[in-house]
Amino acid sequence: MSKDWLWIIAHFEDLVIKYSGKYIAVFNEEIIADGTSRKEVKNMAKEKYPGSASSIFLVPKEESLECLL
Amino acid sequence: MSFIEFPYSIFKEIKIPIIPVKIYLPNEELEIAVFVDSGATYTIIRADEVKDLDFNFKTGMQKMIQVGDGSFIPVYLHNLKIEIGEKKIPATIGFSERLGIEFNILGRKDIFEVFRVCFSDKNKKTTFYEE
Repeated sequence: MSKDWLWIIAHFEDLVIKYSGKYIAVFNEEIIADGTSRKEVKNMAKEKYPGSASSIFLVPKEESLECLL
Repeated sequence: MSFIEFPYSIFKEIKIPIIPVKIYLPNEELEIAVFVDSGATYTIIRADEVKDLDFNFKTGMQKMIQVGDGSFIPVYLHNLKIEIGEKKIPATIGFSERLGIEFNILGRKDIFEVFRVCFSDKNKKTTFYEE
């Protein structure tokens, strides 16, 4: 598992509180973009760090976390 | 026996088995987070994740899948490859516009035949053992 995904997991609670329902891009253990679609966030990330391979994650909303699947 | 461990994501005592996987679409790779769901027959990805990509998910085989409220949702199945940890395997992957939750789901078909999947809420991790 990449260090960026480990960072997402380690900061999951904070991410849900601050970025609920949004896509984020994480690169080098830092959020470099956030937005409402994967495409938007991917483009923002590439603009900021051309050639980077950021991890893009849809942060779930708190009300979604207790679920029956 | 080789294995891959994924720590749970945790929110206020709620433990969630989310893992990153890579799905190999015909023209590109898609790295996404999925909720490991042993109760799901198929892996199902939200259509929003692929809507801006060069991939027409509706060309897949349509199946109506029953969900939690008893209703049926259309899912389009494709034969693709998925990478979990460093293991890349062929798998049936479904896509749906009607998956009404925020998680993509990693289901059993083709995945649980390759891995023995263990959930440990005590140790807060999901382990994939290669069978």
